[in-house]
Amino acid sequence: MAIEVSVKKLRNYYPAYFLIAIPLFLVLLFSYHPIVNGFIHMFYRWDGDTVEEFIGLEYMWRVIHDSELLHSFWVVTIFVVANVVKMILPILVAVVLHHVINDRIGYLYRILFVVPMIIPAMVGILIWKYFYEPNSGILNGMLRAFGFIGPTETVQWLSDPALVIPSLVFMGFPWVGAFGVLIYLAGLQGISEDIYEAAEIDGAGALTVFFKIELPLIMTQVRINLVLMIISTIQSWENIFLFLGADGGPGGIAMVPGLMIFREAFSRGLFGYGCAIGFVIFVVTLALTLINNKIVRVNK
Amino acid sequence: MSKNNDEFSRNSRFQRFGLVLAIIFFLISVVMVIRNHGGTETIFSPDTKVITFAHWQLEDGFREGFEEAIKIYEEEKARQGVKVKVRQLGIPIRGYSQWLLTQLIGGEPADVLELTGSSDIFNQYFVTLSPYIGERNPWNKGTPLENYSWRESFVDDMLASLDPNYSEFFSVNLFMMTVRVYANVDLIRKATGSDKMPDTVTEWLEICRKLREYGKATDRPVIPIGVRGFDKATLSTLFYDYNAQLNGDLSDFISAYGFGGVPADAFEAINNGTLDRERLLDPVRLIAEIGQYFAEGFPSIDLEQTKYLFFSGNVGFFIDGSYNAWSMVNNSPFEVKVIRLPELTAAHPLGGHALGRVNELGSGLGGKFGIPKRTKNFDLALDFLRFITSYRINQLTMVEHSRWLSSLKQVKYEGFMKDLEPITDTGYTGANDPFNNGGYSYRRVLQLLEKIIIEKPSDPGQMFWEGFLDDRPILTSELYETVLGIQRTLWSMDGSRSALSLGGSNPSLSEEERELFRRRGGITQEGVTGRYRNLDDNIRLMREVEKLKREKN
Amino acid sequence: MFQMFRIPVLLTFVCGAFAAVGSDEAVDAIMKAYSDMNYPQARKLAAKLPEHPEARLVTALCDLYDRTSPQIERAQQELALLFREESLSVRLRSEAGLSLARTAQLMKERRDIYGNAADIYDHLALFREVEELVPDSAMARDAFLYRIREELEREESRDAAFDELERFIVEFKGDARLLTPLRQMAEYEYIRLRSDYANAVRHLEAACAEGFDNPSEARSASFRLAFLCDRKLKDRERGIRYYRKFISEYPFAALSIVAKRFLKELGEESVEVGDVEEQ
Repeated sequence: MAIEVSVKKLRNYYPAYFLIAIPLFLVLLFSYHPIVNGFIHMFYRWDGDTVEEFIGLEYMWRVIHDSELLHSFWVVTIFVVANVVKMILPILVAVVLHHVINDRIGYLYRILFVVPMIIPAMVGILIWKYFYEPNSGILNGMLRAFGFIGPTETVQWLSDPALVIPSLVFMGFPWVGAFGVLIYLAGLQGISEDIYEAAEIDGAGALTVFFKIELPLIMTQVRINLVLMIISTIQSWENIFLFLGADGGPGGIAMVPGLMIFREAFSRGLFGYGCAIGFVIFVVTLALTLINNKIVRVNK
Repeated sequence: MSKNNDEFSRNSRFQRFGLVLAIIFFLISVVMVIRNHGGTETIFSPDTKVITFAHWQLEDGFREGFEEAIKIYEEEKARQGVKVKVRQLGIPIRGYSQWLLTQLIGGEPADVLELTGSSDIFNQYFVTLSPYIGERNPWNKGTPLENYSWRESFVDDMLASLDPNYSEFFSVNLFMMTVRVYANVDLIRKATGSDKMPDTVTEWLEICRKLREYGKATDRPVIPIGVRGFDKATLSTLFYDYNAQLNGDLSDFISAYGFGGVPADAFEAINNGTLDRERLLDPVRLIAEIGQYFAEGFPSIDLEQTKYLFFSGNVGFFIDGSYNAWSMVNNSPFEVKVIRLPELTAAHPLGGHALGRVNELGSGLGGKFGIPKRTKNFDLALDFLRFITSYRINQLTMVEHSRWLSSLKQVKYEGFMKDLEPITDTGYTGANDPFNNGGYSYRRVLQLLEKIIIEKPSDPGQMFWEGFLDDRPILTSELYETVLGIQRTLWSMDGSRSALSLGGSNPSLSEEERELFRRRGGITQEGVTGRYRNLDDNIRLMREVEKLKREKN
Repeated sequence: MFQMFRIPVLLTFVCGAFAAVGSDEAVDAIMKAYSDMNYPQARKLAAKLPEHPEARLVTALCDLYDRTSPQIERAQQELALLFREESLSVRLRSEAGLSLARTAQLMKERRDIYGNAADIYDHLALFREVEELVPDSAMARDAFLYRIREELEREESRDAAFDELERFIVEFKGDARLLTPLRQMAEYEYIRLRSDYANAVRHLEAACAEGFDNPSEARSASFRLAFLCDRKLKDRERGIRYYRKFISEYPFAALSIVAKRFLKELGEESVEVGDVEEQ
C-alpha cells in the first residue's frame, strides 16, 4: 500500500539511492557507454576490434560528400511521410472501437486486434516477402486471377526500381497496428462522458465530435506516437535488409541510413565510418524531435 | 471477513501452484542440462572426459552422420581405456559467428569448432596445426591413406586451409563442393520432346528458349533457369566459370612473375595495349544472354524460394552447389538429372577462343574445423579432429550421410555422387577475374550484372565497363584499406617472428622443440616477400584502374 | 665465530639457489607465454621481475606487438636502451635492435598515423648493427631482408643493393635453409625491377634445392621454377625436367593438370601419376 513521504525525508532516505544506483549504472553501461564510444570512434579508422587509428575529421568529411547517404535520407523521408499518413487509420479504428455500444463485442474486437501482436515482426516481414514473390507470390497470383496480368507475366515488386519503394510503403496494409489502436483507445476512454453529453446537447455531429473533442484530447498520444514513429523509421533497416539484402535493392534504390551503418560496419569493416553515419542519424533525429515538439501542440 | 479468508486461501493456493510449477520446470531444466553435458555418466564417473564439437551445418544428414561417428569414436576410445563423451552442438548460421566469438572471448569454447571470421581471430584464438600435419593420421591405419601424412591425405594437400595472412594452418577441411546444374527432366521432355541434356551453352540456350515458349503456349509460369538471386551466388558462379572458360589462358602469360596473375596485370595490359579489353567483357555478354532466361524478378528471389519453385515443377534448370544435390534429387516429385555447367564452344558467337570447362581438382574445399587454444582437452580434441578427417569416418559422415564430397584423396564415389565429382579431364584451372577484388566492390560488380540482365542494353559489355569505371572511387578506397591492412599484417608478422625467434632460442628446449620453432619462424619469414608482393600489386592496381579509359583502344 | 654464522650463511646460499632456480623458472614461463603470443600473460609474469633483462625485453615487445594495448613510444625507448646495454646477452640485444628497427621502418611508411615519431631511430643503421652483432644467424638474415627491400626500392641505391644482396648470400656461413626467404625476395625483385629472369631463376632454383619450411610455398615455387624456365627463359630442357618433377611430387595438385598441358605443348608425354612419396 502506498504511503506519502515528504521530499525532505526522501532525500535523506539512503536505501533509495542505492536502489536507483543499480539500474542507473546498468543504463550508463549498456545504453550510454556504447553511444559515447560510438561518438569517439567516428574519429577513428576502426575495425571493431584492435585496429584503431585516429584520422580526425576524415569520416565526417566523407559523410558530408556521400551521395549514397544523402539518397538514403531522401528514402527515409519518403517512409516518414508515408508513416504519418498511415497513422490516420489506427486513430479512426480506435474511435470506432470506442463507440461500440456492446461491451463484450468491444472487448472481443480488442482481443482480435491484440492477438496478432504475438507474431514476431520478423515472421511478418517474411510473410510479406513471400507475398511479393514475383512467380509464386500471393499478390501476383491475385492479379493473375483477376486478369490484371497474363498467366505467365509477373510484376517485379522488389526488383523493379520503380516499384521497390512503393512496395515497401504498402507493406503492412491495412496499417492498423494493435499498439497504436490501443494507445489511442486508452486516450479516448479517458474522455469524460459529460463532454459527450454536452456535445450532444449542443447538437454536434459525429465529425464535429471527432475533430473538436476526440482528436484534440488524444493529441498527447498522437504526439508521442509521432515522435516514436519518426525515431523508429529513421533508425529501422531490418525490413529492408530482409527484403532486399544489404545492398538496399536494385542499384541501392531503397538504401536507408540504418542499413548503411550495417553495411559499412559489418560488410566493409569500416566501423568508424558506421559511427560517423550514426552520429548524423542522431543529429537528424534530435532535430526532427524538437521540430515535432514545437509544431504538434497539445491543446486541451 | 469470510470473503477475505476465501480470497486469501485462493491466493495462497494460486501461489502454491506457481511454486509447484517452478519446481517442476527447474527439475526439467536440470535433467536437460545433465543430458546436454553428456549424461549421468559424466557426473557419476569423474574420469569421463567430455569434449564438445560445434558447427553450423544443420542440413539433413550432417548431424546424424556425426552422431554415428561419435558413437564409433566413444566405443573405440573405450577399447583404448579412455572414457570420453562427445557432445555435438549445432548452431544456426545466422548467429554462429557471434556465438563463436563469445565462446572464444569467454574462455569456455567447444573443443572442436567450425571456423569463421578473420585471420586475426584464427591467429588469436586457434591452435596452429603445423606441428601435427606432417605426421600420419593414426585413424587411417588399414586404409588407402595409411602411409600419407595428415596433410597429404587431403585432396588439395591442405592448400585451402593455409591462412594467407599468417602462413599458418588453423583448420582442416571436412568436405568439398562442386557446382552443378539440376535439370527437371519431365519439364524439359514436355518442352522439347527429348530427354537429352545440354552439354554446350548453345544447346542449353536452345532448350531454355523452348521452355519459355512451352510456358507461353500452356499458360504456365515456366522459368528456364532458376537462380539464387538474393545472395547473388548464381551470378558469381556463372561469371567465375565462364570467365575461366573464356580467359583461363591469360594465366599462361599475363603475369611477369609466373603462372596466374592478379587484376593489376590485366588492367596494366589493357592500358599498354597488349590485351584487348573486349576479352574481359565477353563473359559479361555471355552472362547477359544466359540471364534472359532467369526468373523474372530474380534479384529478390532467395535459395528457399527458388527451391520451392523448382519442386513445384516450373523451373527447368537450377544452378547450385553439390551440397544441395541430395535434397534436390530426393525431394523432387519428378526426375532430376545432375549435369555439369554447359561448356562454351565455338558453336556460340562468343566461343571462338573458348578453352573448355574449368578443372575442379583441388578446389571448392569447405568446412573448416579447428581447436581453440583454450580447450581443456587438447589431446582428445586433436585426436577427434584426426578421427573426423580419417578415410573411413569422413566418408561415413560426408558421403554416406550428408551426400557431400569428401575432402580426402582416394575416395570412390558411386551412384548419383559420381555426377558431383570434380572435373579433372580439362587443362585449364580457374582464371583470375580482374573485376573481382573481393569485398563490397565485387558486390557492386554483381549488381551491375543484374542491372544489365534486367535492362538488356544493346552492348552489355560497354555498359558494364562504364559502370565499373563509375565505381572506381569505391574500388580505390577499398584497395587503400587493403594496403593499410597489409602494412598492419607486416607488423603482426614481425611480432610472430620475434615470438618464434625468442621461443626457439630458449636453452631449455629439446632439439625437436627448437626445430619446430625454427620451422614456424621459417614459414613466417617465407611469407614476407608474398606480403610485399600483395602490397605492390594493390598499389599497382590502384594506379592502373585510374588510367583505364571509357572508350575502346 | 664462524660456527655462529654457519647456518645463516648456509641458509642464504640455499635461498639464493632456490631464488635463482625460481627466477629461471619464472623467466622460462615469461618466454613461453611470449612465444605463444599470449601477451597479457607474458606481461603479467614479466611484471613480477621488472628488472630482469628478459622480462624487460618481453614487456617492451608486448607493448610493441600487442594490438589490444599498444605502447609503442615507451616500447621503442626501452628497446633502444636494451640494444645499447652491452652487459646483456647478444641474443637479447639483437632481438631488441631488430624489433626496434623493423617497427621504426614500418612506422615511417604510415606517417598519417605515426607522424614523425619514428624519425629519431635510424632504422637502416640499426639493421646494419644487428647484422654485425649476430652474423650468419636468422636475425642477421631478417635484418638484411628488411633493409635490402628498402634499398632496392630506391633508384639511386638499387644497383648497389643488388650487389650487396648477392654478396650477402654468397658470404652467409649459417644454415643454408635460412637463405630461402632472401632468395624469394631476390627472385621477386630481379623480375620486378630488372625483368632479369636468369638471376631470378637462379635464386629460385637454389631456394627449391635448399627447401622451404612452408609446404605451400614449396609447391608454388616448384611449379614457378618450371614455368619460368619454360616460358620466360625458353629453356625447354629445364622446363620439361621441372614440370615432370612437379607432377611426380604433387600429382593431385590442380597445377599438375596445367603442368601436363604445358608438357603436351612442349611435345612431351607427362609422367604417370603415382603415389605421393612419404615425407
